[in-house]
Amino acid sequence: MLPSAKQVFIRASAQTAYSKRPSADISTISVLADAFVALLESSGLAAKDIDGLAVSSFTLAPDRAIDLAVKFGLKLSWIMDGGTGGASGVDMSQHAFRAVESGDAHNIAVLGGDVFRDTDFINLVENYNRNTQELLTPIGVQGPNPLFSLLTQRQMQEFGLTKEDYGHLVIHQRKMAATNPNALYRESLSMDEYLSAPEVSSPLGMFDCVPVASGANGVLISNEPGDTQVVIRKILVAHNFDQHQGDGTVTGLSQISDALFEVMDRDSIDVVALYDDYPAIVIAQLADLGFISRSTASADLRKLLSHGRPLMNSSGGQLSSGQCGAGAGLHGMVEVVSALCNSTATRGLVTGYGMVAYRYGACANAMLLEVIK
Amino acid sequence: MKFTGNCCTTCGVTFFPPRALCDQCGKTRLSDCTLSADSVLLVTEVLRGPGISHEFPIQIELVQLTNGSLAISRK
Repeated sequence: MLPSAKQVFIRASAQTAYSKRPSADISTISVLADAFVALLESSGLAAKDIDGLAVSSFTLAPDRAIDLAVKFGLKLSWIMDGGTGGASGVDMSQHAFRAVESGDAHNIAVLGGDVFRDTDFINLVENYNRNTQELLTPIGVQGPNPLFSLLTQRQMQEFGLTKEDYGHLVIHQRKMAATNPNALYRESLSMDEYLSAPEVSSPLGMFDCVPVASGANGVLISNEPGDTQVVIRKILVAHNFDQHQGDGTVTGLSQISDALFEVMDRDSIDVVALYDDYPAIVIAQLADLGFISRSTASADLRKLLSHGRPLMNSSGGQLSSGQCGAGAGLHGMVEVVSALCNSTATRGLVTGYGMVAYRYGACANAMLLEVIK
Repeated sequence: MKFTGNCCTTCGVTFFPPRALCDQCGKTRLSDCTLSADSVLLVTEVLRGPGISHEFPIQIELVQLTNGSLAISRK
């Protein structure tokens, strides 16, 4: 990514309430509309000021971003349908950044969200892509839990980790969720409760798997700042870096980590949001980004969590808040922007991950943010 | 255990899961081929899932195929 001559800001962020059992009056369009309106209220802009729209959603179909634009009454000079789920927030922001930088648009609403009812979620995961339809669903694999249980086993062997190590991470995020009114699970969690939770797919227990939620997230990418000037410093993407021939314990972040930290020293980062559909993926990303070492992962992780800096998944992440489908791709970004706007933190890192191509996520990306005076 | 991958008839490379394009020589229209599992690397017992299934618990394995690729199989 070339140095940018023009600063591009995240002017506002928004998150709707998450629900496990959405009420009858809630729909995918309504949660996306709620997130959009919240962006307008936060930024002081009107709908007529929004000239760009990016949307990522699994349940918006048959509507697309353009249909949402029509339903929101927007006149646009830039539009995008994001198709990379958990990585879509950073992916859409990468394109939105360039659009604002070039002057193609001035205020871009980047939205992600889903509403799941009845069999919506099982239909999604059983038909996620052709590899899933042809290779996984026919043998009884329902969703990604069995795949990431195998990945976690592999990681435990390679990194020398125990169930308790994953428990410490999950407990930390539950503690962070206590101050997040939108989180599904906000009560503290003990190690005993974590270890004795019902098993889902060995070694994953209930608290290792994100609760499915309905809701939406949004950010407003703009040529002008909000009350807090949050600048996008760098966005890097590494999708399918290993041609899906690895074991999933290394993510694409391993390929972009050095370039990422050329812009901002790793030790100077105050708050990080690591895509957390599973604790093992948080740990894989920590290793790929150099926050922990594979050979001393257990000790490094506990030190990182107790030190509190960088502060990790500061609103509880998805493991405590819930995963609102493609909206999860923006959950971490909203989390970090909120921390940058409401605390003394000035530097933040957001990652995206996801899109299980067959055995693990094919997408990985990262964004650096900084508050400037 | 047998798995259906595909192979490039131009350069002989085999792929699993199947590809649409040979990244070695650029050929499309690859041919189906059968690959065998060489070894079982890991096993997980799946006790529950997002949907109702009368088949639970089931055992899912990570296996290595003869061409080196990894695959998911059911025990």
